[in-house]
Order: sequence, then structure tokens, then C-alpha cells
Amino acid sequence: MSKALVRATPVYQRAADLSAAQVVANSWLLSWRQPQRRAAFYALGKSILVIGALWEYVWLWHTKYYSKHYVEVPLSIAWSLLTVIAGVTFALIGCSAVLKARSTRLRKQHAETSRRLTEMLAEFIAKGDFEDELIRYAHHSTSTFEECITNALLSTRGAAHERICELPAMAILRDRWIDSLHKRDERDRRYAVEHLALLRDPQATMALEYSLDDQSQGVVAAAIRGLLRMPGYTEREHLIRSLPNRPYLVRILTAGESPEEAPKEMEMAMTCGPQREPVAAQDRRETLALRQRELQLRAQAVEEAIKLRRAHTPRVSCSVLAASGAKGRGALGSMAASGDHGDAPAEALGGMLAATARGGR
Amino acid sequence: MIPSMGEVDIYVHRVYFFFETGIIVYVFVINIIYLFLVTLGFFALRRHHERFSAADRDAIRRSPLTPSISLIVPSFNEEVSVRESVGCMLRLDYPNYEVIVVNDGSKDRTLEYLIEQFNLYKSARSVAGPLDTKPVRRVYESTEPLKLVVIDKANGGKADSINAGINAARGELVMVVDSDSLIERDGLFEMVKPFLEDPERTVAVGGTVRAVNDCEVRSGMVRQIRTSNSMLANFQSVEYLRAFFGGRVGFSLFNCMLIISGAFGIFRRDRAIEVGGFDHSSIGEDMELVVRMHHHFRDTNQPYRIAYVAAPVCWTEVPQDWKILHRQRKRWQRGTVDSLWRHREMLLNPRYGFVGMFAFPYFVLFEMFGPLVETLGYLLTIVGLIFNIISIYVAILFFTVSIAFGILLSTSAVALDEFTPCRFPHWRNTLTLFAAAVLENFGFRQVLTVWRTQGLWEAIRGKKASWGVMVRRGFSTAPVK
Repeated sequence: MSKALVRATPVYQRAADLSAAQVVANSWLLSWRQPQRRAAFYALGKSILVIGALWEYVWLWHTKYYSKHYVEVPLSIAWSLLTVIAGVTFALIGCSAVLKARSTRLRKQHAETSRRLTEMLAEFIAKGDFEDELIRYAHHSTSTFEECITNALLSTRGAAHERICELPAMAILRDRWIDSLHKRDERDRRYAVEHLALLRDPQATMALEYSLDDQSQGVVAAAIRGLLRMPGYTEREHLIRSLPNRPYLVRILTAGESPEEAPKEMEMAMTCGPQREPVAAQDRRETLALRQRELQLRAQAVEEAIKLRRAHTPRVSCSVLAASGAKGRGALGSMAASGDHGDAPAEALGGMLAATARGGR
Repeated sequence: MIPSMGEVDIYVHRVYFFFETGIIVYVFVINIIYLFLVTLGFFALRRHHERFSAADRDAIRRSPLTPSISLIVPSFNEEVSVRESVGCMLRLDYPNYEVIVVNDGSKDRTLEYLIEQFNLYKSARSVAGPLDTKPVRRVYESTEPLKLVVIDKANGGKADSINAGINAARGELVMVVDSDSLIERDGLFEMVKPFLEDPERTVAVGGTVRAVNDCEVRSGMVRQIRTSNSMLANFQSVEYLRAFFGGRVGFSLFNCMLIISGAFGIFRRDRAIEVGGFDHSSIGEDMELVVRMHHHFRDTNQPYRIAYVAAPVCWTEVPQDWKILHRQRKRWQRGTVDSLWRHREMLLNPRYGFVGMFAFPYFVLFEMFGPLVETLGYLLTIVGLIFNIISIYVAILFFTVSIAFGILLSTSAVALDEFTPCRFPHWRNTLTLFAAAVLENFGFRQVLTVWRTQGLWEAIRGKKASWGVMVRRGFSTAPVK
């Protein structure tokens, strides 16, 4: 074993007292513990099993059937190979057809269920109806229900968000997500943590804190984001201080949560090779001019957006109040009387009364 | 002593059977390896298709630490598709990127179209850098707030253009994209994933390339995936699926991938410069760079990783003309031979680990000499039949087994496509692809074998290389029937 190779091994520094063979063996063992290497090994093992099983079939055809018809072994094996290949090819085409049919059917079903669920959720937020039916969906159409809830949680704020969290079926989902934190599949764990984070429920704090020690960087990042957004989370400062010691991916996925607090050490530039040379002065002026123009355009866009928002905010609030029933009607009445929010309360109240007169809400 | 006619006959038979048996064993081994790679792909593809969740993407968008990317688009006579593909690249969903189009002395209106379409003005931006390139005539930037830079330079080949782009790039990562290609809107997120997961070691990442011919394209985006009306394009679609979902996934698992497609690959800029950028004198510059990276980083004992991710897809126009396909395949074969020859000391050298002991011998035996052996096999069979050395029954049987293996591999690749997010939505398309997977083994594969043998011969003779001329049809915008 060459010395250079031994020095190249990551454990060389720590294992000066070990023999070269031990150092290399340790290094190999360590490298196989990396997730991608482990995945490669699992895939390799499974592939060997599949090819072995196929060869077993070829051999069975050869010994049990074709060897009796063809004396020459190569001919018998060739026929056995043809039989197995034909079988596998037809099985593949068949499986593809079944998968295609199934996915088409599921997509249609999913679209229908999703539409129905969204309607029911909207009704539940407004009136509190369909509670039992939603619980039934939570039990039977789990994935569709979860998807609808996620969309609803992502697109609602304030009272509506709280209303969804009050849904009795949410307790079922929360428990399911907490259970998923122990699953082997990384995607299941990350999915669960992201959904628990969406709830912003202090009851989920412990579960999210548990995920901070997860092996997967994606899960840890989702847990950190969830905790940093959790209202009244007391360990926020401590968590932010710990970010620079986290892996690169976690730092990237969480840096947006606390931009003002992102310490300089978090910026690990990808610079192992030669550094970028300085930009020529002329070039820099050009860049600055472009950047200024971009900033001006952005500022204009932001101003316009603020104006639009100002114009629409009272209307949106009033629509929400109008949808919330008798309590909202009272509030709208008093707002319209005070005249603080322009015509918006009166318009919403008028619309609400007209709808009531028509027999709707 | 002069041997009798009977003895000569016996010797001839023995020599013949020696070669014939060798070729049969060779075909069997190569097919078993292909099958093994496809099976590996089947088990590993799920991991390779993992995408960032919507929440993660949102976090990356807002993160000030997200690495910047420079998309380098080398262009040579691409007036038909350059506006659409650059427009598509400017609409990608990634927070921190720029597009650098390098016009490599095009003789058509590529530059004029770009100036007109994107309101370009002559910029003073410095494009000097550590890599040697042909002189840059002018640099253009857009008057609109677009992160677009166009470099107009003297003709120097694809590698030279990419090097000019690398010099001008300001991103930490440089991505090479063909100008006749369309990238999925969120493709960059998935391409940078290995760099974010393993920033110290990852030096290069390749994505999946698929045929866009006759797909519905609107505003530079592939809206409806469908098979082509041309069977030639469909044959190539199947070929691409087999190459990416079989070969690349398998090799990537063991960090011994020797090719990152020139149409869709991303590199760390500093590492690409460290190894000297793309080689002007190489015809298969994409493969050569990747092999050189393996060579360099193993030589200098630097930990590195060259990865493949299946999720991001780059849609490219494949040739629908036999002549162009002929030129393209010969060029590819010569590129493979050239890259392998330049780094021949890696062959069966344990110092280079899996690359030297598995990937390199695989490429030499099966990718470089494979076509030659296959052609020899066909010739020997014909000779054997003419001189009545083998029976027609045996010849047909072994030919059928070889074809059946090919069909199995192609149908497996098409079946694997069902597990990907970019699968064909309609029944008709999947059936067409299955039909192509079967039919390509009767004629198309054999023609490719002959062309690749020609490429091997030209490489051995040392014929000069140049950009391949590709007649572009542009992207189809026809709605779905």
C-alpha cells in the first residue's frame, strides 16, 4: 500500500498509530457509511438478487425442459434465455400498462376528491359545516386530504388558519405526522416535519425539536424553519446561534428565515481553487448602472404593489368579515357607521344582505 | 511438412469457432452488464428523482447564501432556435443566475437575432480570464433588466466557446447548455442539489437529456410531452432513456461516471479552471473534461464527486435526418476514443479506484471496441453461412437472442420512464415508445454499429474534428390533437 494513498485517507491524522491496512480499511468503512454509498450498496445488492433470480429461471428452463429437446448445451441455454427474456419483456410492458391505467384513474379520482374537499374546507372555514365528512375523508383519502389541508394552511392567515387548525381531523393528521418522524424513509420524515411546521402549533414544538437531530439535512432544515416560525418559541436565539455549525445545505435552507441575524460565518463560499480576479473599473461602472436601474424598477414595482395593497386591504378584510356570519355583520355595521375604511364595509354589508335575500349567505 | 486439405479445414474451423465463441461470450457479457446497469437504475432512480419540496425551494429563493450560476450557451449558426432557448433560460426559476451566450463566429443571423430580440448594447464588461480562447470581438448586455451577456468571438470550436463563457462567468457554478435545448423551469434547483448537499466534494453534476421533437412548446416551455412523428427521433428517445436511466445512474452510484452530457452539465467554476477548462483539441470535449477531472483529482488525492441527477430534464432537438445523425454518431464515437486514449494510463490502474478498474475498462471494451466486435460478429456469421461452417438455424437463434436482449433493455428503459415525473401522459405515446424500443433493434441498431465503427476508424486515422452541422427545425408549437 503506497504511503500517498494512506495519507489520502481521511482518518490518517487520527490513526497514526494504526497500520496502513487498518487505516485504509477504516477509510473504506467510513466512506461506505456515506448516504450515497450506502444507497449504492443497497441498489447493488438488490440488482444482484434480481439478475441471480433471472439466471435461476434460465437454468430451470434449461435443465427441466430444453435440455431434453436440444442435446447441445449452448442451444438449450439460448432457448432458455429467449423464453425468460420474452417473459420479462411482456411482464414489463404489462406492468407499464397497469401502472399507466392506475395512475390515470387515480389522477382523475384525486382531482374530483380534491375539488370536493376544497369546497368543504371553504364551507367549514366560513360556517363550520361538514366536520364529520372531513373526518371521514381524513381517514379514507389520506393523501388527498393532506394535500388539501396543506394548500389551505399555506394560503390562509390569521383567523382562517386558526380555524383550519381547530378542525378535529387535524389532530388525526398531527398524530400521523408525529408518528412519521420515526419512519426510515427520509422523504416521509421531511414531509411530516414540513407539515408540522405549517401548523405553527406549540404542541408540535417537541416533535420539531426531536427532528433537529435527524440524519437528513433536509429534515433538520425543515424543523429549524418550523421552529423559527413558531409563535412564542423561547429557544429562537439559541437556535439561530447554532446555525453556523450546521451543514451547508441546512444553512442555505434556513438563512432566509433570519436574514438580519445571519452571521458572517454562515457564508461558506465554494472556493477551493483560484479566486476570481477583480472586475475592471469600466465593467464595474457598467454593472453598477445596470444594478441601479434594476433597483429603480424594483422600487417602482414595490410602490405600486403597496398602493394596490392599501386600496384592497379593507375590501379583503371586509369580505372575510362578511363570510364569518352574524358576528361579522355586527362588526361591519359598526365599521360602516364609523366611516374609517371608506366604502368597503358598506359594500360588503350590502353584498351580504343581498345574498341573504337570495337565500344564500 | 505441408498439411493436407483436411487438416487445413480443421484449423480453419477451429479458428472460426474460437472467434465466433469469443463474440458470443462478448455479446452475452455486454448484455448482462447493460441489464445489470438498468436494474441498478430501477432501484436507484427513486433516490435520483427526489426533488426539493416547495418549502425548500421557497427557502432557497429567499436565502442569501444560494450559490450563483452562470449558464453558458455556446452557439454556432443557431438562428432557428437561439431566441426561444435563450428566452426560456431567462425565465428559469432560480434566484441567482446569469445567461452567457457565446456566439462562436456564426455565419448566419444568430447574433443579429439576439441583439434585436433582447435589446442588446455593446458593453465594457471584462471577459478576460485564466483560460486561453480565441479573441473576443465584442461583449453585449441587455438594456432591459435581464441577466444576459452575449459574447461575440472568433470561431474556435465548442470547447473554446465554453472556455470564453467560463472566463466571463461570475457565478460559483457554471452550467453548459446547448442553444437548441430547453431546460425545465425549476431545473436549476435540482441541478444544484448535490452541490448543496456535499459542497466540498461535488465538482460536477449531469442531468437528463430528452428528445423534444414534436413536443408542444409554448413560451420556451415544454407544455405537453409527446412522441415524435418521426420514428428516427423516437428511436433516439429510447436510446437516451436507456443511456440515462441505465448507464448514468449506475455509474453515478459508484462515482465513476465518465460522461456528463455537453447539452446539460454543471461544474464548479474554480474546479473547472483548476483542471484547465475544456480542451480545444478534443472532439468529445464534454467527456474529456469529466475524465480529466477524475484523472486530476485522483492524482492529487483530492476528494471529489461527480454526480448525476435524474430529476432535472433538458429537452433537446435530436436529428431527424439520417445524414446528420451519421455525422453526430461518428463524432461521438471519435470523442469517446479520443478521451479514452488521452487518459489511457487510468485503464486497469488501481490508483484510480472504481474509475480505473471498472468504468474505464467498460468504456474501452464495450463503448470503444463494442461496435467493431459487433460488426465482426455479423461479418463472421455471414462468412460462416456462406462457407457452410455454421447452420442457418444456429445463426438465427443466436441473432434472435442478441436482438431479444436489446429489446429487453430498451423496453426496461421505457418502463423505467413510468417512474419519472416527465413520463408521457398519453397511452398512445407510451405504446409508440414501446414499439420504437422493439423496432430499433431491427436495422437502426445495426446501422449505428456500422457508423460507430466508422467513427472508430476515423479516430484511429486521426481525422480532424469540427463542429457538427445540425439542421434545426425549431421547436414545435402545435397544440395537442
